[in-house]
Amino acid sequence: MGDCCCKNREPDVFAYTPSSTQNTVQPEYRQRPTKVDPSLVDQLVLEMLTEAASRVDIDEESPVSLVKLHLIADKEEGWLQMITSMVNVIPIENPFGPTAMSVLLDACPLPSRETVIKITDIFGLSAERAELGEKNVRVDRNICIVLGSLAEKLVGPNSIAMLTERTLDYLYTFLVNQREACLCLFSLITLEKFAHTMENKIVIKNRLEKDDENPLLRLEKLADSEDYTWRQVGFCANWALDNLFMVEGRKLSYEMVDMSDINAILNCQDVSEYLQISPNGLEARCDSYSFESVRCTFQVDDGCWYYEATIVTPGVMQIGWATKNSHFLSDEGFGIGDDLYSISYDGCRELVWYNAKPTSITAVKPWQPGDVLGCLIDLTAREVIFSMNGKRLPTYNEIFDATKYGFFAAASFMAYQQCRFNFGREPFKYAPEDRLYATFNDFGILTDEQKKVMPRRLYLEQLRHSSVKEDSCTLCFDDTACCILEPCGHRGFCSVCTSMLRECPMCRGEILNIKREDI
Amino acid sequence: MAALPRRIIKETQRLMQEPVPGISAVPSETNARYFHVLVTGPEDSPFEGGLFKLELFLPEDYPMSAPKVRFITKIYHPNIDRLGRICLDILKDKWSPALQIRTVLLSIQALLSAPNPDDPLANDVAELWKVNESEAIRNAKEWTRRYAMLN
Repeated sequence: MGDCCCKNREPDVFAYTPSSTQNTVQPEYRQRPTKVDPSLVDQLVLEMLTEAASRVDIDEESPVSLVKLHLIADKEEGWLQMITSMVNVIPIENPFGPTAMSVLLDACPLPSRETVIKITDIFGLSAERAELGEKNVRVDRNICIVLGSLAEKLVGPNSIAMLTERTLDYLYTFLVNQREACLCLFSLITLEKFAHTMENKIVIKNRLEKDDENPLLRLEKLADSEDYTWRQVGFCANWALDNLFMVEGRKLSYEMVDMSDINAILNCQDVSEYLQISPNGLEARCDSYSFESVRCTFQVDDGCWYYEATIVTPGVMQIGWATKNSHFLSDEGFGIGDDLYSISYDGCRELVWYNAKPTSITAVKPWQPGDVLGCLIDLTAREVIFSMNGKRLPTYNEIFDATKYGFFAAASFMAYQQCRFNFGREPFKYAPEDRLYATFNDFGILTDEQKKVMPRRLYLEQLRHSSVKEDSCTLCFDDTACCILEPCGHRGFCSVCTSMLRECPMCRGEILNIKREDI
Repeated sequence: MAALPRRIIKETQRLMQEPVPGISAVPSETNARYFHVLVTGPEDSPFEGGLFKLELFLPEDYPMSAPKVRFITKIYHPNIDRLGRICLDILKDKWSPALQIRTVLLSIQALLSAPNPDDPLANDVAELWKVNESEAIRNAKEWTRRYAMLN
């Protein structure tokens, strides 16, 4: 399960069933004084963080700490206190830190524009502050995360107001002085989030081009770095140069990358929207707060298959196997391992996930950057076996009750997570020794077109220019309309859409029969 | 399956070419399913003069299921709760795949013009709206000034 906490946010931020708890807490909040003891807020934030890490059950109620923080943050002053506490106390090593911050920001209504903008003053953001960044990496990393989350939420005039010259100086300084990899990484991600607002994007792009050398061009060379934090910086810089801050004269990565010996990649047509995929299709990263998923291009139907994933970041990812029936409900926190048609291992929480239910693993330690997860599926013996750095975890076979074939390597990522896949192009680090297996790269076939990991914007551009036939289904515009609903007689729907209808989309009439038009 | 239906591209194009008056809906540059929405408060409503930010997300099974929409800007309204969640039938059981992003946004705009305290989501707001409408409207205007105006 992806983002356990998000799924519990009171109860779902998008759902609108009236909640009775909101009424019961109301009187208490009216009497509460504006200023709360700062140490209490710190403590609540830390409690919230612990609860975030240990909760895996979707049906549990919201943590008490979260409910209390809601009440505090409902006042302008309280909201600022909560932000300050988050920035000060959330430890850098805790893989749930960024998630906890986003859950809190999401669950607490934003205060007035003046208050939001005030935080850039409260933290004294400036180039000078950034120069001292390595003295207090934690606080500055957390500031970057808070700014990024707000910039993402406030796309538009308020995001423009937050990106003052001093804020930009602050973020840009981390990017150019490159002293602390972690700050370089998070300042870059924050700039990307500010760039969701067009005006900011122009301002940031101008700044990047002001110096003799665009710092991103230097940073993207780190994409193959042995140091896993710098490697992330390289990945993000490369992505930003291809997708957001394009440089004149620089060819896009997908036009340059050598794909000659790559025959299986992460499928750019079978991925949730925010996931970022490297130009060679073998590394993926998520910087959004949804639980982003992807499947591989190669389908396995029989025999025994193996691949490896190198962990780049130690947080929550669910990596394993999925069929096409598995849904990517990224906004609800469901991903690989969260339905009947997929199974995954999450080495951060040490859980194997199947049908959204976790099984604890005690044989290995939580994964760290550089660790290698092995994923084996044996369709003859009906077994799925995960291994961490060669150490085998228990064998699973429940998934074969629902499905016998049609599996793909697949993975889901929480915010700020990244990993690299080896589908057999390189020698495996911990190849299975007890049975014969095949690799996707040996058997996969991709056309030149399929090997192109094009920036999303170019792909969308192509889609926009594709024409829609006159007889297209009026619901999906993908297939030909061929069905008439009876008895109401409404038409214009394809057979795929019709099969999903419960009532007529036009008149809400009951569907007693579906007649195919002669086409 | 996670491929982007042409339907989303078509709707987006139309939204850009023939925008709904008083509403701007712009897809995120990197996520074609996520829209940044700005709605201006309708004239002659307590929300007049305000600019409200909303987020709209098209889930994987759109258009078979409804878009997910919520207010990011705080608003004092009986059918919108503290977290910006909206009580609107077409976003739940009255959704039909023949409806569109455009129709959803128009309905939300209409909801601002005509609050319905008999079908509340924010109970305390609805209560006040029923027993003392003029005070409720005063609050709504005050919140609009405080949270939804740029200056």
